[in-house]
Amino acid sequence: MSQPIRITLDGDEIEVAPDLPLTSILMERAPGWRESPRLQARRGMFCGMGLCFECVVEVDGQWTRACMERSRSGMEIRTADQRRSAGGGHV
Amino acid sequence: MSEPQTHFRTDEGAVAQILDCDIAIVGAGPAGLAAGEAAAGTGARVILLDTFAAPGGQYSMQPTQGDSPFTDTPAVRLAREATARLAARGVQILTRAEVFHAAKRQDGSFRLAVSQQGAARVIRAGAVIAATGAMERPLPFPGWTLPGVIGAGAAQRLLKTGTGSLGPQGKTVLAGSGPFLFAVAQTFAKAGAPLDHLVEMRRPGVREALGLFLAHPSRLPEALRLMADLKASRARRHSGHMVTRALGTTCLEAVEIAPLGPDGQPGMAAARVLDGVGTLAIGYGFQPVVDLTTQLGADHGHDPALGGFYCQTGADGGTSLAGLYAAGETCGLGGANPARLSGRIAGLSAARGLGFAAAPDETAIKALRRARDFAARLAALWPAPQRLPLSLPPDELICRCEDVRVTDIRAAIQDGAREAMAVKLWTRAGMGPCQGRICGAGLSAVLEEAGVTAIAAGYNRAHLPLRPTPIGIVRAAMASGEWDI
Ligand SMILES: Cc1cc2nc3c(=O)[nH]c(=O)nc-3n(C[C@H](O)[C@H](O)[C@H](O)COP(=O)(O)OP(=O)(O)OC[C@H]3O[C@@H](n4cnc5c(N)ncnc54)[C@H](O)[C@@H]3O)c2cc1C
Ligand code: FES
Repeated sequence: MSQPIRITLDGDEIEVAPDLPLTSILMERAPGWRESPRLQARRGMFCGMGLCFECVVEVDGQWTRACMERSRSGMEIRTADQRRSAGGGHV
Repeated sequence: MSEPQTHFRTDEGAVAQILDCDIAIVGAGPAGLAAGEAAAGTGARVILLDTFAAPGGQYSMQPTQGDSPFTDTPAVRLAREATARLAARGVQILTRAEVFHAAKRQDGSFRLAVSQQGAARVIRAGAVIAATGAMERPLPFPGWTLPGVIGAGAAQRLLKTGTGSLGPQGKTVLAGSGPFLFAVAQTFAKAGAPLDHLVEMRRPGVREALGLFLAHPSRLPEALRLMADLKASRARRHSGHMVTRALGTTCLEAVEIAPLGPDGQPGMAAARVLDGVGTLAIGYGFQPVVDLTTQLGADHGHDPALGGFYCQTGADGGTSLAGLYAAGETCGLGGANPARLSGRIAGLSAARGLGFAAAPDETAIKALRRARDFAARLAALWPAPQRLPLSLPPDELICRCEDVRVTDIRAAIQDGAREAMAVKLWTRAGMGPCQGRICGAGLSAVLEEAGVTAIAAGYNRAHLPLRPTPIGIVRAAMASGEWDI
């Protein structure tokens, strides 16, 4: 195993393996991390291959598919959980 | 909100990089890799690009963790070795590169707009090979949008490219129909991830299986290995059953299953609930990815045995649009062998079409016929359900992107929408980021309830951007002066 790296997930600093699909990290916590636009229903990874856009998160302020991104040292991930507690908009 | 683009930073003033080649190949699965090798061998300048971080597509997806049990499987090696050969031949391989727009110019050449890790690129090509593969063909059922309900292919990808665990606590259920379920069960066994239940609609009889392997004996060892690994997974096998509901409040908690009667309908009197479920991985089959080829305007056919709408090609891999070729599962489901062979054929044809010396490979053409025959016989053992034998409650969602319910769609059909396109304009189903890739099968099932066949319903022709793309990148690519106006 390579050395773990530190990333920020919804404000918490955590240690993860480098180059891991973000869906691996997020599924480990809870399978729903996004809110649907109209019903505000919980959603998460569905297709796992970049085509459904159900897994979207913000990485360093950019809207992106969690299933297509890999963990890098210092990256900051925001999901609907943080936006909800911060009262901000949603993805 | 529902406009994903607004969440991107817009890099005003960004300029697209222009890349030149003879042949651009979209998709680096078995088909694209074989096409690249064949085309580059004729001396053509080739660009091969793929959205994923490494070439391989579905069949040969590459693990990310050094200690993964999947680092040295034959499938993984296949892509790794092909990639090395391509690089040695000077093929330019772009990874994490997604085509979001394509056009053919009046001079006969093609342009592809590509988003690659925050940068815009425009590819100029004399010919294009679409090797965009296949994806799951999701059929909606009650509770299918609950977090924890994922595609069977998503489970496989997570196990192969992640830590080897799916994550959620609780039991794991694998369900659906078709031989792919066994491949996924095998992935669970190899990853050492627990699989508790396998729920399959149909289990072909011994006699049917015998017919298949008498015709294609060389495929038997692989099938026996799959069955052995399925046993090793220790999953409880519920044959002739289907999932009738996913249950939970904010995420999946339980799964209801029921046996199928002789009429093919679930017998709800005998339904039971599997409790304490964390993940339901479900798949009823695949469909070709045809966004690139529909956008370019090539002809498409419809055949349930090939996964629904597929891009039509001649024996040389050429589509109805001169200079556009298609290979692999874009032309219909079939698996890795037909993909590799059709890739080689298309690669040679595309080069020949541009004047490079490339004789057709008659052996590959013959082998492709045989490989497709195996695929067709295998598929016939598990006819893909065209719609779920379940009536959906009015509130169930069909379109996940825009939260459009069954009842909204039924109302639109009642009001006169008789095509996928009309339903989309009426209800927004298919207008979200997935562009109908996810809701297409569900939508056509609801149209079918009203007597509209899949062919009459038609497909959503994909449009710019094929995939949501940062607005700054779209602007940079479109401002490049490379497009006919
Ligand atoms: C989810 C899933 C799992 C599968 N698992 C197996 C398995 O375990 N074993 C098996 O034998 N068969 C499997 N198959 C069948 C499999 O698709 C074929 O065996 C084989 O991978 C087909 O090869 P291909 O080259 O046609 O397509 P693929 O391997 O699917 O490759 C297509 C590639 O095109 C890329 N692409 C598509 N559109 C774009 C775009 N706009 N821009 C950039 N890149 C793009 C994709 O990212 C993908 O990498 C699976 C299929 C699916 C859908
Ligand atoms: S899970 Fe479908 S796009 Fe990521």
